[in-house]
Amino acid sequence: MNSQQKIILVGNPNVGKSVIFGFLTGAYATVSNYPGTTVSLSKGETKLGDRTCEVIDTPGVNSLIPMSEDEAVTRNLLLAENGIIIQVADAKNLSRALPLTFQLMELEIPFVFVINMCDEAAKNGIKIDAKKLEEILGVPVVTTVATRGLGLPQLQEKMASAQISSYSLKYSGVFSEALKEIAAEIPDTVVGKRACASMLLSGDRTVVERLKKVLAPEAKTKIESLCRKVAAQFAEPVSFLMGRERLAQGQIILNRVLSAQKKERSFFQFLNRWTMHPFLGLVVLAGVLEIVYLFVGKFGAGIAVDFIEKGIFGKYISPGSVWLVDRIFSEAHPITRFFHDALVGPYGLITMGLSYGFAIVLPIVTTFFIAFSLMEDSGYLPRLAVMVNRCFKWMGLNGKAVLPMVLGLGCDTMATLTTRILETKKQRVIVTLLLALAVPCSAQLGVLLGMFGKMPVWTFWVWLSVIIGIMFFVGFASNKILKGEPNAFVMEIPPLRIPQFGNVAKKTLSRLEWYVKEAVPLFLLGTFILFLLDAVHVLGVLQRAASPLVVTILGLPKEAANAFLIGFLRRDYGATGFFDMFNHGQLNVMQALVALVVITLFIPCVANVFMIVKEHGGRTALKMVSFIFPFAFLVGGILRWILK
Amino acid sequence: MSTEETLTLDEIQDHILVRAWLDHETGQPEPDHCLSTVSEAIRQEATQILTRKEWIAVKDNQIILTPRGQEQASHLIRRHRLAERLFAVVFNLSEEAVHAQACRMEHENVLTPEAVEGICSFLGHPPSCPHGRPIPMGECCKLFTNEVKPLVMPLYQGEVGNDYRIVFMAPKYHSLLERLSGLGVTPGASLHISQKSPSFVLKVSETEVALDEEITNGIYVVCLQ
Repeated sequence: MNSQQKIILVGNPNVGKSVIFGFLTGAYATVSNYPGTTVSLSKGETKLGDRTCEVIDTPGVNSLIPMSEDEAVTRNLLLAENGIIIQVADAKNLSRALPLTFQLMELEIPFVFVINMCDEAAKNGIKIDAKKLEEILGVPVVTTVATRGLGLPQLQEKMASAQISSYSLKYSGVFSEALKEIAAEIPDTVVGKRACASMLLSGDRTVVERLKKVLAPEAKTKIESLCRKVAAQFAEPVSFLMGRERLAQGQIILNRVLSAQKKERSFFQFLNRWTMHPFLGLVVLAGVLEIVYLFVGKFGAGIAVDFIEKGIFGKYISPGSVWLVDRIFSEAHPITRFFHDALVGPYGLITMGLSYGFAIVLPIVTTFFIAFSLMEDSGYLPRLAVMVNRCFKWMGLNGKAVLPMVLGLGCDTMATLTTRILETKKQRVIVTLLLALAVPCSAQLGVLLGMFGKMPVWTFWVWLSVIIGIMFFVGFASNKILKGEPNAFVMEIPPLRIPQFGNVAKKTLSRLEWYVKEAVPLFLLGTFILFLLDAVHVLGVLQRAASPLVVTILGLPKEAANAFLIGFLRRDYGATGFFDMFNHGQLNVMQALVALVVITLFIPCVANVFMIVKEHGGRTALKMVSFIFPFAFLVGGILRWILK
Repeated sequence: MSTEETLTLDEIQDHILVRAWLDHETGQPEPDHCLSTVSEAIRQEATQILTRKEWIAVKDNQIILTPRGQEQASHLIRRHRLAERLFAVVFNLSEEAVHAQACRMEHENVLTPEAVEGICSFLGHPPSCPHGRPIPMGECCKLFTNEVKPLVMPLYQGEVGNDYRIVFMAPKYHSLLERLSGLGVTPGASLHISQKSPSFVLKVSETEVALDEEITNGIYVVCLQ
């Protein structure tokens, strides 16, 4: 017996697995209202009786035959791990949950079935007889409203009585015969023989790879020929036909446990239509953008930054720390002076690093994360995909790609991971490139908005059109250059929901925690590097070396090289440098615009490069990096030439 | 059922051709329930006639179709499976009932070539029977003529606000089938067209699905009133 039992949360996308994960483990997994919030595994611990168990939250799947990277993550986990499965189902959509249930049952693992979002189902006039479903499936069934914590204590109790389902799914003649024959070829040591057999018959070749070691060569060829023989009999793929049979059997069960009444159209349904209407949808979009701009640009980057930078930092923290450091490290002695300047000099950790990180960027990312969480939780983002699908086709993408792209406005690194929800490799590479090139993250966006707030309005529109133009141009070109399968747009649209205050607050805090842990140290590191370079007088050399590029081509003062230099670490930090220079009158409007365009096109941050390496390999990452930086300067040069 | 008593020699020949086609398709010989009541002697006679016409050849006790026999059999299969589709779509009969009906309609003297083309167009030139087996293409499928106002039409011709039932799906590539059925968009499901622009949005039971217009070309539906 395994010393630590595993509990695996599985279910269709957007059914609330992460909420239940949060309840069971006390850890926060990002919860949103769109399919594909979770793209990798989250792990935590919970108590089952007196034992500690590991709980694993998985990306949503509609079937155990994976269609995209995030679905493969879940399928692979299920084949590798042994424990208890908690299948979470949307009460409104049981007909889609049951086919998955049947597939999970074939794994022959103890099982608990959770019917979540019972409140929404009741609102839609759907009644479910959970007792009866429990009898039919032969596993514990729990009804919950996870976001309000209803039914979750019962779930914890029933987990102890999880059991292997007594229900057995009957496929029609040809399939059940073939399944029996295939299963006979698989050795007993393999966990979930029946599941493997049905995946093999469905034509899932990745399972063959997994079974390679335990399968005799003759058995392999026999299985292959069996599968081919069955497949040859049908015009439609076997996996589809088997899926249809599962769906049909699910329907038979549902007819016994479900009753539905028609409900009238609610206000939400009208709002739903408006958000995707060809004309009204644009009005809604403009409205949403305006509100975000007012909240993040005007309030966050304007009022809040002024208050913290000029008020708190300018009046108290900076003078206070200067006073304190002056007492500890005298400026008179060269060694103590080194420490003095490292902390509060022109490139001081406190005067520059901390004040950038906390006074300028923090208020902006906070307001942005709040606005962003509200958009995520209301379910607006997938509706945006419906609006932009056609333009995205141009770039070899489809509407679904809008999700990682918009997430990139929060954090490009996390968004790069989210590209897993896209179905083809080509799409993933294009979106990753566009994220790294042309989608500013919240920290940078905030700095930019703050700066544009002080510049003439037209500069903002020039900047926006250049960036969007570049995005489409590069997207269009990579679509032509990269080879790949066609991609079709198929996407589930979740219902509109009122965001819950608690979740918005938790999500914002967890993102802020991430920001403080990940970004601020890089800010400090960047500052310290600048300080060191300055102290050993290399900075001047670098500035001179970069001057043909910075001064001649881009037409900026030579100090701008500093900002570009730290921009290699984090582009938002680079942008903050320009923000500072502009505030002190070192850049005119034209120069600021050019600088901002170049820094926007930089790679977001070092972490983002690591993520590209992790997801696409070092070679792709290297290609992207060596394209992006020269390209950014090239665009800046051209822009300056046009503006002149 | 005792339809077999009335089987004529022509019909028995048809059944032998169909059986040979099916055995080839599935790759293994199976007993034929239409032929099960026919006496061995009559069966032998029919086989001899077919051999004389050079439609079949008998090798090691196995019946093999000649090219001409194959053509003949493909017409029979086409009529059979189109008939199955017709009964499944129009009358919603069960799969067994559909098969039994179709067994009687596959013969040439029941359905004329014109009638077959009419049914095929009416059904929107389906690529497979309700059991998922392929329907051999006719001339009309190659031209994709729509002289008869089809009952079954591609979804993109549907109107916003109406309800439809999916009859069959023939998307450009197969992986789409699974993605769609994972979302509940599958033959037999009822759907509501919420909008067609800027993207197609369907409602299938409680799930809202957005998709490309191209995909809706491959989803064939009948209107529900």
